[in-house]
Amino acid sequence: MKKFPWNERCIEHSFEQLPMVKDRRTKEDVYERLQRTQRKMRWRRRWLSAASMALFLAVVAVGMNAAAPERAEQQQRSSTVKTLGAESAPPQVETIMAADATPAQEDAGVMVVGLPDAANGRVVPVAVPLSGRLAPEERFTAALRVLGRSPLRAASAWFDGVVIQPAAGGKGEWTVHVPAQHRVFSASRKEQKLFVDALVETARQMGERRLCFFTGEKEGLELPALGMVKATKIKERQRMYYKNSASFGYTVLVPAPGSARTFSEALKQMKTSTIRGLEPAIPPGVNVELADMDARHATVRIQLTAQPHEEDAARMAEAVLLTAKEFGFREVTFAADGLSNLGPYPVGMRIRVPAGPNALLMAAGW
Amino acid sequence: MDPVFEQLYEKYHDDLFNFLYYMVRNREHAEDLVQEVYVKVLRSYKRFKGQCSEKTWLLSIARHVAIDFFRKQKRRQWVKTSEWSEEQLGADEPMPEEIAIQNEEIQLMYRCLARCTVDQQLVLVLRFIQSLSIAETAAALGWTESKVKTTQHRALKALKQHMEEEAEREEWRHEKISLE
Repeated sequence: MKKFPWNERCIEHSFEQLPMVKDRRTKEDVYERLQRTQRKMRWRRRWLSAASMALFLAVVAVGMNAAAPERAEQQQRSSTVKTLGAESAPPQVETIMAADATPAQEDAGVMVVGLPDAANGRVVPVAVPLSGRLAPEERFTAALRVLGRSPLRAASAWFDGVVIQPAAGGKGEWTVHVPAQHRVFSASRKEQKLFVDALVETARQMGERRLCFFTGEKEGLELPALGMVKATKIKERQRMYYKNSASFGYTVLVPAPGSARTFSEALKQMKTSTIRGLEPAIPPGVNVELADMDARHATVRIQLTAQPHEEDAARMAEAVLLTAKEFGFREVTFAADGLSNLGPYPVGMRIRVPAGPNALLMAAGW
Repeated sequence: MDPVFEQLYEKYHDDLFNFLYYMVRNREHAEDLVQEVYVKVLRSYKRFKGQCSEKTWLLSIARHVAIDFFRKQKRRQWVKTSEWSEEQLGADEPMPEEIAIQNEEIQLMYRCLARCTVDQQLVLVLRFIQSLSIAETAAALGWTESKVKTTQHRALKALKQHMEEEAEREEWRHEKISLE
């Protein structure tokens, strides 16, 4: 490599010889441009503050608009109709039947428990009213306490000692702890299947997506009917509600999967039942169809050629509301000429879909 | 005309422009940046408490403005080096008249200055073009004096190396042309 004569001192010296590069503009030019820049910056500051103020006002206005329908809904809810059997029902049952409910997992006042109906081989979901605000892990136990004091205590006894609670850190995942001495381990195959189905239905109604099973603290449930059950993923599927006339001695509504892809199709399919033991909740002589839908609100038109019994009308309305909920609707308006109500449900008014079915069972025999 | 501006302009405008020019190596950019410095200076002039000289204070603001400029340019051009060395912005700008009339060594130094890092350039320009002392340079950059000394030492070493490499390339190019 060739040697060059530069050392650091030499470079320093050369640096000092670098010429002064001057601004060619005059002082006046510089000042004029400075003023222009300042004006531009002032304008930008003002515009920004005006824009942020406008944005703030817009957010406030939107917030107020959003709050207004909520208040209207609350007023509407508080003035809702009398429910089926309201005279005999305790106040909390009226609350549920007044279609007060949001989806089950959002409604702290209701817990929907899937009860095994061994006689019919079905799981019957029942909306159980809870008093006070409870943590998610407390709600199942609290619901069992309420069920233990109701005519459904025999069915709910299947869950004695069972703990259902949210999995640590798992969104939509719950754990089921079954005591090692639980009766399910010595139950028949049919009862074992029904027991697991009831737990899955309970989780589904709570809006959960996955259940993990434990025997005591040990992972999995060893059931002869099903083998080792460690976890189950709950499929998201829309179901339709049908009538079962002989569960626990009462007529109840039970969900059943169907092939309907839309709420409109579901309403058509609900007029008939191909499932053994289940009857359509829509009585003969009644035509039900979706008249309109808007976001999460559906309008259902009901045409009658024969006047149904009040209880049938109420059950039909409840089945429609619950099916609407399965398809993601939050509110339903019934439209029917010459009718003011379908059981406890008013015609021509927005009704919130219920948290769950069969709330009246909790009042039966009280 | 704002008396503060007038006073600052008379005293420091040439130094300010010269500093910014040697940092960004583009007349238009230097003009824009000097405006920006005045806006900032006039806005905060009342808060200046005289902990350092006015010139040092002005140059420290100019240094921030220049660094902001490099950051913006870097974002725009997706220059991915952590230091602005080889891809230093302005390296390909045409040489100003003031330099073009100087001898080859000065021109070589000017070109190679662009290959130093921003910190090295800051120190070299402040120390040898603006003729600030080590203490003044440290005040303008917000550094310790020892950091200024270390950076200056490394900057001179780097510049020497760049100049040698550049000179060797130039010589090779001259030899090649004469052979042809």
